[in-house]
Amino acid sequence: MHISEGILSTPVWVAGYAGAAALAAVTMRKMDMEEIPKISVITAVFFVASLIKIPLGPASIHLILNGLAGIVLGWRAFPAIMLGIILQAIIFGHGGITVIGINTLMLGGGALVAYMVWQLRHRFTINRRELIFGALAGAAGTISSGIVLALALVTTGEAFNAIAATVLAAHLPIMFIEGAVVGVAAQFLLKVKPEILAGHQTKGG
Amino acid sequence: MPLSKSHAVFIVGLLLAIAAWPAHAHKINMFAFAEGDEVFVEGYFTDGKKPKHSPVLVYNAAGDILLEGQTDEEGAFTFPLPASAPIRITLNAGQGHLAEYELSAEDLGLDAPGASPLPSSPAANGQQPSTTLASGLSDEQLQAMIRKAVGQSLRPVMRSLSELKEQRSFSDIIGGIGIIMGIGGIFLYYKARKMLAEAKSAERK
Repeated sequence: MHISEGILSTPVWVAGYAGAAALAAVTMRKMDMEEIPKISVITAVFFVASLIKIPLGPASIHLILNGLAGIVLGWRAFPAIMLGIILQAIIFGHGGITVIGINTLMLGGGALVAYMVWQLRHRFTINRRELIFGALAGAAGTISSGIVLALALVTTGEAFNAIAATVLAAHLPIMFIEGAVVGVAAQFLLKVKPEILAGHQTKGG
Repeated sequence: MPLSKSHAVFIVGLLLAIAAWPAHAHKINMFAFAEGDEVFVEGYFTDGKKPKHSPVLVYNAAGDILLEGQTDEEGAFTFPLPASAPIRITLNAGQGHLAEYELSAEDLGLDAPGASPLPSSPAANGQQPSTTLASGLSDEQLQAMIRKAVGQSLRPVMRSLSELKEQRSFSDIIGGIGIIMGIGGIFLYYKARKMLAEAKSAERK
């Protein structure tokens, strides 16, 4: 899910840059030294995820994994995704240079929504809540990115309802797969290294 | 230092990257070239899907729309050779997917002024300008037919070249991961220097 260069009008992609820069500045504040290796690793995972083809019927899709970034990095997922998108644009030609801002808002914004959904798990005491909320966060990351994509395309003169319907329909299978992958990843990380998960609280603490 | 889980995540990411190589993302690509007195345009998604009935726009050097059309079931579109060059062709596959392709005067075979549409062969130069062959076709007609036939048989070659250009190599992926780790390292260095400076000033007190 990347918007290509040459579709959006100049004010829209400039606004995308401004919005992405502002959010990056906020989400990067007071970063600890210990967080940096974790952020680098997740950035690398996000960077390569778009290249991993999953066959689906006659075509194939690729994972976005912005939800995974959200549940591991929390607010820091935003700068991580920004760096990932810059490198995807330069090295892989995904999207383009002018649309780095809007693509960061789209996928990074999705990661932030995923994190918010992930944090809701603290209000529940159900079994396997990390699996369930990880899956919900993964799906939420995809859906909210789809909504930002539809909003961005509205500025090109397309009707929101129509474009949102096509975008969401196209991303429905990805949403389910992302949900499954992020849910399983959350469950796995909870077992092997719970402190890597964003917002993890040790018992009693 | 024992192998931490973040190292494990990194290694898994790396393995996924290797598994994905050579990899494509879901991206729209296109190519175009002159085929006799027509220009052939074809778009394709990197996962093999064809952009059906997608709008194609052809712009002249000034940025005005020369003509518009739609791709067929095979994602292809053909239009008559324009009189001026360069031209820019865009293919909008929807949902933020747009591909662009530029053709110069040389690409279109328009670079020899006055020679259009067909330069005469050296053998015919200065002699009989137009010989009639046994088949009853004039020299020009024959040349036009040859150009068209050669152009059509070049389609698979052009398609392969275009695909090759879009293919990401393993070194691209590793290079990108290296950049991410490098930026993480720079951050750590900066933070470490600050920490050391603070520790030193605390010692002096």
